[in-house]
Amino acid sequence: MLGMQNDNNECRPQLVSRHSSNLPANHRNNTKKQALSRRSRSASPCVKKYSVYTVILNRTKNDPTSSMITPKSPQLPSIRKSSSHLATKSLKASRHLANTKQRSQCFNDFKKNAILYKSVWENVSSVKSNGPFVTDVNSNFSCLPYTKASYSSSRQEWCPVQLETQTYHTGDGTITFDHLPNECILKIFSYLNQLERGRCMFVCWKWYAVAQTPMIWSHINFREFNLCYGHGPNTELPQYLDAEHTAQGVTQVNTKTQCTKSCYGKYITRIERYILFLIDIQPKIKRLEFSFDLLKDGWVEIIKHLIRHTTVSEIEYVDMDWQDTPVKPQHLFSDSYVRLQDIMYETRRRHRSFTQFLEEFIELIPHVKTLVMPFHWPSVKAAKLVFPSTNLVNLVLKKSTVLQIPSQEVFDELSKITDLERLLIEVWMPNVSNDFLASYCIKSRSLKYLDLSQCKNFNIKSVDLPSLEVLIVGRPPTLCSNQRIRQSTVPCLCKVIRRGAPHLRRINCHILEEMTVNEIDILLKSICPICKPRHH
Amino acid sequence: MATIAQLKGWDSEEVFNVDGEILNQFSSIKELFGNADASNSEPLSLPNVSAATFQKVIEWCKHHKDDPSLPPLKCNKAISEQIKDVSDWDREFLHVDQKTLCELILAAGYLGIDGLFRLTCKTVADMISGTTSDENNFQH
Repeated sequence: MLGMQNDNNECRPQLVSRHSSNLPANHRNNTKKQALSRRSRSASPCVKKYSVYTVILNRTKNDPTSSMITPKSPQLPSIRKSSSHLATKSLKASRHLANTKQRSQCFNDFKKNAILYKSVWENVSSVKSNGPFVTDVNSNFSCLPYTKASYSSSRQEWCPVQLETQTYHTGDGTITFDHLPNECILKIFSYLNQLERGRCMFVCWKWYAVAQTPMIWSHINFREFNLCYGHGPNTELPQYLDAEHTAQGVTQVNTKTQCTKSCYGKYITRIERYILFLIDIQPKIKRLEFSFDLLKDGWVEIIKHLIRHTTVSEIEYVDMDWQDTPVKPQHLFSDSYVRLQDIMYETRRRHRSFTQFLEEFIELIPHVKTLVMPFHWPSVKAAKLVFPSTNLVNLVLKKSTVLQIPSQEVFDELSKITDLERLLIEVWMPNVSNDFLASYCIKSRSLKYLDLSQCKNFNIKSVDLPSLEVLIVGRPPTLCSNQRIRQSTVPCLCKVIRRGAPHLRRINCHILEEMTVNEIDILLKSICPICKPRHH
Repeated sequence: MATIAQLKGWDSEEVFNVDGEILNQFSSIKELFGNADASNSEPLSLPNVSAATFQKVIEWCKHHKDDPSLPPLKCNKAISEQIKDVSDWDREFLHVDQKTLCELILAAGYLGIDGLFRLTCKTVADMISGTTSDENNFQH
């Protein structure tokens, strides 16, 4: 594997023997058959490209129940639904779409697309469709070149005779992209984002096969998906394929004003298909990002389906926004909740459903190092659930609703994370009255970086952070005209810092080592709500 | 530094004398020349690397010999953020036709030069994503 050995250790074996234990047996057989037929087909790259579409379309015509296989999403050309819930859901959606007019439109679009991809392909690869090496490429379809040489480190394997049998230059000494070993193509694909990779899968069978390597799908980011990729000239027929949208040169991506409710429905279907694709190829997910309102539109089921059926145990990074779906065109879905109590009720339900989701999720991801999410600060239950059971190193807790008063217990739970090094919290405290000024203790043996700059009206009573090196604070709250009450309830931040964080090296952007004692004094006073110089 | 390895491309008899600094960057074949005194032995022919490509590879390695070794890609940042921007020298270096670029990828992968391999693959990846949108504009 040579140069890729460092970061891409497991890619090769998985391409050949994809493990698909979670899938039903007949599905596996199907895939095998399909794969076989794929290999036997394809006389030339040009024919190959068209055959992708014709194969799929033929199948769709013969079998109406499998209309979900229609290649509406480039990521998922031939995936069967394995969950009954999702199956019925998308079946409804696809039946809804499956009238003949749309199908013929779909077919035409595919032809257009195929032509486009052909030109892209020829642009990238200089091989002509009837080039002399096409047969070689096909016969080596799934075998991985220079595998033997790279795997063994013994010297015998490296003798020139063996190496000469594994050359990739063609007869006349030219190498084109077609002749690159799969490892190289894989490396190139790993630098593309998910959507580009999905498009590349439609270029030719070789790319299709290489792009199914689970290793390159370890970073899942649902935020890369747009609601819609614009509308073609035929506006009453919204487009199916995201690749198709781009293919038609629509540059005004995501013009929400043109979108209808069905665009959002298709967006959900696209995400579901992508998840099914992931379930099919079984990547070991390392990084997961999504932004879905878990209360609405069945997102919680969709995400649960993902985490239950794929390998998530190796996840190291999770960035989840569970309270908002930014791509959803909110103006089309006018909520009937206008009363404040309805909104409050919905917020409570959302918190509850997230806590339930988290309960399941956090058990599945024991190795998570970084967690970014909005946090319902008053919820001690969620804190008890998350913090003690993980080995988090980085934690970002954003505000979930606008004003909320955290309880001290949340911070007590925070101190139980043994390896926590970086913490960013966002708490917005209500500026209720001068008498009520809650302040908190933050303790941690390992914390090195603390960012409080997003907080509002957040007061610290005491800190016990022996390892703290960097402290980022925002403006001190300007509240309370009554000096006496303030001093009795809010402790002086200068004292708190001096006492609780002895190894502090940096405050905001100021490096303390480079400053004189006087300057440090002024700096501390400027961030402290008590000592802050007052402007009269 | 003294020559410790003699290598040649598959397509010509031209022998390249490679010193230790550069050989260290060829992670896949440097073990071959571990302690042995290779200067007297037969030059080793490299399949997959032509003489012209090898010349370019050595040029790149000379320019980048002081680079720190690349950290493995981590999960806490998106991959695209972790690949550093291509420097001007590299951009100029890779201003070649596609055939040469392919040969460079192959050579870099084969010799195990991680930096060059990443750089070339990144270049092609940019080409793929770039080509698609250019192509679109053209089509429109």
